[in-house]
Amino acid sequence: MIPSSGGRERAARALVLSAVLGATIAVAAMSGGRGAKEPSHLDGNDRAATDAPPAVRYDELPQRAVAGGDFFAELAMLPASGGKPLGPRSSRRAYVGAPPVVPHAAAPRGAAGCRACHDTGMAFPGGAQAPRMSHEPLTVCTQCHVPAVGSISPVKEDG
Amino acid sequence: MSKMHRRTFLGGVGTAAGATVLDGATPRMGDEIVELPDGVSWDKAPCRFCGTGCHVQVGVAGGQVVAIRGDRHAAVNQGRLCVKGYHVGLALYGTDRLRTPLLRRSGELVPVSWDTALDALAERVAREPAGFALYGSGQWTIPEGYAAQKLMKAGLGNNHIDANARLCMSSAVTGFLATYGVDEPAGSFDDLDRCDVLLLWGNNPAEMHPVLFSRVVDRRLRGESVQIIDIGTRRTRSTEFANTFVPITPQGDLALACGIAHLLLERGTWDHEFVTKHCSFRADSTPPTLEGMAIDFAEYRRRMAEYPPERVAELAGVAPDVLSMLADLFGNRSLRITSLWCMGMNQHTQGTAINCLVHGLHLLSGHFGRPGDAPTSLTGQPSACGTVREVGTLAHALPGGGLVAKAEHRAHAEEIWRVPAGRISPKPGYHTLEMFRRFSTPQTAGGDIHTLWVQVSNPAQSLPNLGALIDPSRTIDDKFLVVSDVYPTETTRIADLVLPSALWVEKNGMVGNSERRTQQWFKMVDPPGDARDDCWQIIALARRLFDRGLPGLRDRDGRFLFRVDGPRGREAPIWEWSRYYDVNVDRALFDEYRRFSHHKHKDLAPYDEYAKARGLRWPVVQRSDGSWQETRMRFVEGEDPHVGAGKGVDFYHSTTKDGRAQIWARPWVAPPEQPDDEYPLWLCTGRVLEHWHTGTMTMRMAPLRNAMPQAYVEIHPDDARRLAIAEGDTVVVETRRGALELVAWLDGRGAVQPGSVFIPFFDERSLVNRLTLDAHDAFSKQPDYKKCAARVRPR
Repeated sequence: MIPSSGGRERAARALVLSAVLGATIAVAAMSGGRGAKEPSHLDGNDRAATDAPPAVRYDELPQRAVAGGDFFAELAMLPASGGKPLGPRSSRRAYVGAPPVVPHAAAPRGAAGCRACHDTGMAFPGGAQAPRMSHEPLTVCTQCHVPAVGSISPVKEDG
Repeated sequence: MSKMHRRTFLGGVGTAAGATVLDGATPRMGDEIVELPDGVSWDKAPCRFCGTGCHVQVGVAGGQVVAIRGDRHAAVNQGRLCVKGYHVGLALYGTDRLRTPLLRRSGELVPVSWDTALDALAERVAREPAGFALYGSGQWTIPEGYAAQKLMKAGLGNNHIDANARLCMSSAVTGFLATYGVDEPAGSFDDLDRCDVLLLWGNNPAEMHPVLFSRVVDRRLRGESVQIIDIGTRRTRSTEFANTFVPITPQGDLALACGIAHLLLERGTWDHEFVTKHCSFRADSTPPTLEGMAIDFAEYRRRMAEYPPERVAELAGVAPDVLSMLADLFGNRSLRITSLWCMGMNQHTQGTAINCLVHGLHLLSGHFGRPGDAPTSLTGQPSACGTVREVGTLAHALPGGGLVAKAEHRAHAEEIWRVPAGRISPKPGYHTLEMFRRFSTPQTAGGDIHTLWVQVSNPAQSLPNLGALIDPSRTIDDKFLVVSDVYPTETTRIADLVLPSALWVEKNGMVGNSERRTQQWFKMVDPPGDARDDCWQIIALARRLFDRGLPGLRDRDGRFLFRVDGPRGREAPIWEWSRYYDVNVDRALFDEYRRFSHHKHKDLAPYDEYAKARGLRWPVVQRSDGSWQETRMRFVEGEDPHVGAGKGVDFYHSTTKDGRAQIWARPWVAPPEQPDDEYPLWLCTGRVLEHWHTGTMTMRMAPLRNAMPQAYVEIHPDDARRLAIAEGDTVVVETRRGALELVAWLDGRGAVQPGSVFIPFFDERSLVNRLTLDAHDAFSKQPDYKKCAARVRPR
């Protein structure tokens, strides 16, 4: 999947900002989706529902970079990214806030294997870096993060 | 339909997540969006998929769903979702949505107007209403199912309405009825937060109910201890998180449950006080009935004594020390034990028996009625409970737990529906398998169903033994198949008339999940093209029949059966699509339906209360301050408002009318088909995390399809070696009913036991139900998709 040019520009801008803010510890604000309208039929108690974690906007990423965790991960160079580091970020998500798919082979046996690299964002030789988890650790990673490409290849279609 | 053949459909999926923004419109889910547009409005809805009933917040902009997030204020999921839930919005935006009615003319499905389509259907129904059948599903919303129920039972006096939940959870229903005298679990998902031991009976919630499973295993992160025992015929992702895997032979569950009961009795570790106060004993009568016959404790004990550890080892393959460990758990009253089950116990030719036996273990050991102590069946569809079980869209049922065979239940329904006495037929209609058999048999040979309307289901993929149950109907003249759906499916492809439907938040809806929770949402976006609500389709057909003068479509005052008044007391013409949303039809139907909910103490609140809540668990009763109180545990004093003070536990719908639940003695019975020399392997079918049922929606959602692009057959490495099959080989799987080519997966998603194979049923290119057996449970009429004899060879 090829990222749109708009995505590349924003990605490049965010990358610069993140380099500046990279070492700063930021606290992720968990409320207040921008421009969100509250459903009028919900009563007082339910209104708090809009406190559900909002999808992260790309232009908010610099402020969230550290707490958000997985931002630097996109420095990984993957063939599909054409060298644009943030390209894979959007290509791995159906929409902003969706759980990214897993672009590598993974054994779906509990969380330990996943967390070995993704707890801290492990760096690999050659510049690749495992994205750091953007949420509290949970137990069943594969419940939300599925392979980008399945283990079995699609059957050939009839001609 | 020629424009929507298979290649086109697959091509469409391939581009669904591409960079194209169709028509220059607002970016939507599945397009490559890098940020959410300004002005996103958020509203609540339950997820469209399984019976867990997670709530999502749906982000809408520019008339499109653009994002989904977990709803942190929903008690069910507390902000969590699974991969299907996170991508549920994509279900709306497959490129080949059905947008216009299609009528088969000269062999081809061609676009027609709604008027033409509905006239064609009305003509068939009016000609002979008794030969018309309606087949729906646990995805019917509550108002849709209620309208369908009313059309058939009040409008046509015809009880030929059933639903795919028959194939899914009807043995759970008969288990509850036989044990407690009333359907649905006593406990709730709250038990998952409190149990010390979680027993999985042929159940794989890590893939099928992922959010519920996380609710349990994430407790370990908080330092809590929960022991998971996985009893099954196949290692699954759930097994990876289990403390103990108890492999059993297919059908061995019956012997295992009896064997545990026997040890409790022999050791005296059963709960004398609970059983003496609250339980009676029951066994099969001659002829067999759901109520069975009373037996005394000595007789129950004698029957269970037929399952000593050595016999359980022989029948179930469970070693005596493992059996002893399970009996120790049940015998320990300081532990809280929750049992979970779904298809493994329900899709079973002895489904009623195993459901009764597991309830019996909890009752016998007193692991019932305290938080965390509960036998809880799960459901696979968002409203299997809310619609099929509660509205009663089944051939023998009436709303709220009534039966067509009971005169007082018919009279009650006729009163609420304001139709003349005697309108409802006392004769149960055809259950699912019989309905399709009759539809696949010439009318001259007793096949008296001539027209079958399928809504919200895909029986040409999901019925067992397809070659016997549906194929023949396509070669018989004067059999007319009508299918309402959102995408082309195996069933729409063979239909005579296809009606395009609105999906999920394209319409108002209400559903009911596995823990008695009734949930509501409002329409947020428009359906594509000419697609319209299933509920409107039913009402529009009803109006056409009314206009043709069918007497059943009038109430006793001569008014339209589905009359809904607008704000000024004038009838709203809801049968006209352009006027359908002038009033809230869901609200009108639900508030009428609600009147049925009291006689079995499944009390529902008014519609407006559900609009404010993220679901409420029935019974919901009004308190003196006017607020509405839900119930997390039934039959228990202090929790269930229908249990009087001082009673402790009261099974107030007891079949023996004495407040007692029934502990059943039921025997191990051999399965109807077992491996032999010719077909030496067990075949089990099932599901995977990424796909939901027949894949109509999830196979069009790029992240899910990419992750799990096709069906496969899991084979044990020992069997593969013997058969000279390597990982990735294409193999032929055969049963006495059909053959199928599949890719072999040795160390796959799950790991089968030696001598068995597993095939998921989501892939319409690999219809495993051409291979399955249509033998079914005698009480529930639910077939067994989990056990038949097969053989495998390299292609």
